[in-house]
Amino acid sequence: MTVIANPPIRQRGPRSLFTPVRITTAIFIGLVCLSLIPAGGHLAWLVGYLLLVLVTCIVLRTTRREPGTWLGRRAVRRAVVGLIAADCVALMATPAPSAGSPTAGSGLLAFLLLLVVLNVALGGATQRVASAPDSIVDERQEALRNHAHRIAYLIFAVVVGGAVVVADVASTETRSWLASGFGGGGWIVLLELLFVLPGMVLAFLEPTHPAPEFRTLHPGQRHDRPALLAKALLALTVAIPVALSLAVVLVPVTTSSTIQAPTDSVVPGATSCREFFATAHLGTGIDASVPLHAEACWNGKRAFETYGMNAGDCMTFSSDMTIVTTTQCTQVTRADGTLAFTYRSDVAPGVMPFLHRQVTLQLIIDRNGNVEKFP
Amino acid sequence: VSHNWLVRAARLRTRRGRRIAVAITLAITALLGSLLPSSFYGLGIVVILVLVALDVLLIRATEGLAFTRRRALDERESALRDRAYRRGFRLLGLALAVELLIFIATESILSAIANATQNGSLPSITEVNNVISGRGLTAIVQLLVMLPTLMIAWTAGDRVDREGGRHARHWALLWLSIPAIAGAWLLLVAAAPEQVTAKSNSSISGGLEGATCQHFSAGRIVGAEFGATVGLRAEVCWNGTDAFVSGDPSIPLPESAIAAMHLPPGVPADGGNPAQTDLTACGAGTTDDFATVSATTCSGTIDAAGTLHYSVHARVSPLPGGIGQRDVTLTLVVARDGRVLVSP
Repeated sequence: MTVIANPPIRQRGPRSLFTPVRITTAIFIGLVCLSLIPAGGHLAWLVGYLLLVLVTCIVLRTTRREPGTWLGRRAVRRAVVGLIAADCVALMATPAPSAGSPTAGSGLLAFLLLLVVLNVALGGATQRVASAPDSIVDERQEALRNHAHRIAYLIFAVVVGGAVVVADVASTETRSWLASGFGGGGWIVLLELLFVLPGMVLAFLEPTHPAPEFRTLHPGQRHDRPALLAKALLALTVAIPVALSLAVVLVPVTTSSTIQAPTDSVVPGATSCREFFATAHLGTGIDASVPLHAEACWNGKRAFETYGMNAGDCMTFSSDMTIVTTTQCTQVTRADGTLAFTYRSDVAPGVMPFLHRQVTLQLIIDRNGNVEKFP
Repeated sequence: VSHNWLVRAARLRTRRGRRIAVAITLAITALLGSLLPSSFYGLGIVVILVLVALDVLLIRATEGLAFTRRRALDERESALRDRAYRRGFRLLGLALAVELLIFIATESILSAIANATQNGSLPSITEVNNVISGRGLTAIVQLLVMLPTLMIAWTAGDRVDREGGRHARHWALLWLSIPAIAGAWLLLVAAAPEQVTAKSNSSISGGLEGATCQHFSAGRIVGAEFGATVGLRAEVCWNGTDAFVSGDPSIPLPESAIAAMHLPPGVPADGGNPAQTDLTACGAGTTDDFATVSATTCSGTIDAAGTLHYSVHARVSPLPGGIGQRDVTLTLVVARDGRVLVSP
């Protein structure tokens, strides 16, 4: 390969608006938006958040800085590449959070945030030469990034293609692993490899460069406004899901309740009956609602349930990016005829499932119909 | 159009000829990655062999530039190859995204057709979880292996000449890949051990008065995704006395189930057990892209202990004339208290 020592930057025609990367990004964003449609307006904020992520990525790509002394070292760059690879393995190994094991995916967000930080470092180290427009790279950089793409292609084909083929045909267990792998961090790793792998190879191949050899693509933009804006957007992008998750466990639970006369016919053996409605709501955006709708009657000797206090009635919660697990659903009639119903749930934000709080809805009514506690 | 041009085009020596071959290759790949047609009825291997033949033609036309070692290339060739890989990598992401779109779109079309034709026929959408079907897997591998070659074939000029290129007889050996793939496929379908499909994602559930029910949807894979999948779909109910199949009038309900339904006088016993193909269907979930599935029979019997024995039998044939055919049986045994004693 011929390396031109200090080649001129070639001026080429304007870059097409519809590049493969942009179309690919648009398709994946479109698919994510489509998947949110069934959720209705509850998750509409996620579309806005997705746009914020997109704007952050664009601003990050437009801010180019010299890699600096530290990131200019090959050993440091290789360490960053190694950490990204290890992070991808960890993401693949981390299962998605689920109602059965809410803490199972507790590392998912941590690994994702680490990946974002490492990608920013990688972009700084390589000046994003791998994805830069043709018009701003010189011949040496173009040759190097083309070579990096060939190696990245082979790695992608062997690692991703090989893993998918072997897992899909080898056995039932491997097939199940493949099916569940994309429930956790599998999609994140796939997108990471599709968009960042050439940059990783480039960072690995590029020698330690003295300042004149590795020319900056946009000299003089070391501490410019776009860089500050990019940092602010990045911080905001990370802070929003963290703040919304913290709100689930820190902001007081909003509870509403109503008691009304029942609409159906008289219950045999009862002096009177009442319908009880209550809802406990936690969080905004990342939120959960735990409802209680039951009917209780009494006759002077005891209070009793007609409906709404059974195991199936404790599964009617709704959740947006939260994990709700029913921990208690008990109905007890005390010796004095008092009816006590306790519905307790454990709510954890989906992106930070290691945080959680308990929500308790309780209805206690004595044999004469006096409501001692609700909710 | 001169005769000479046609010969050169047929050998993909012209850019136009190669571009036509690339377009056909991509169209076949898209077809494999979609759900339409819903089945290749055992002819999937023919589609794959056509694809391999096109691949061989394109590799020959580009003199295998995408697969040649770096030390055997001069600077120009090396630069051309590396640039093709860069563009290929960018297009790989796009191709996978488009394949995903095609899959979702064709799945939606099939769902719409299934909903519009709910007249007792088998629903087109299978509940059996094959994760990635053999045709989908072929599309992915095709893109991974061939995209750089497709890029070179699309962009290179009217001739792709390489000094020191391999001898024509060497390239002719590439054609051996077709019988090799056909032989490997036949061996796989005839001899590879059967596998169980992954856990179904179906959330369908039915109910019957006086009984508890559970939906079973599973399958056995013959030929590791490149043969056929024999499916089982059954709604099994139990009432403490008997376990039985619901939703299939050809399998009669036990006396205990009929009694619990409190049917009005004059209503026949099977009136409480109409055909519900979304719950129970013999042959549902079967896929036969690469081998035909025939002689499918289903039976359900209840023994003296009230235990249900439900089984599906089918014959999988990769080729006509009984070559490499094998019989497949799926068995489901459920006790009268709902315990699953044997899973498919």
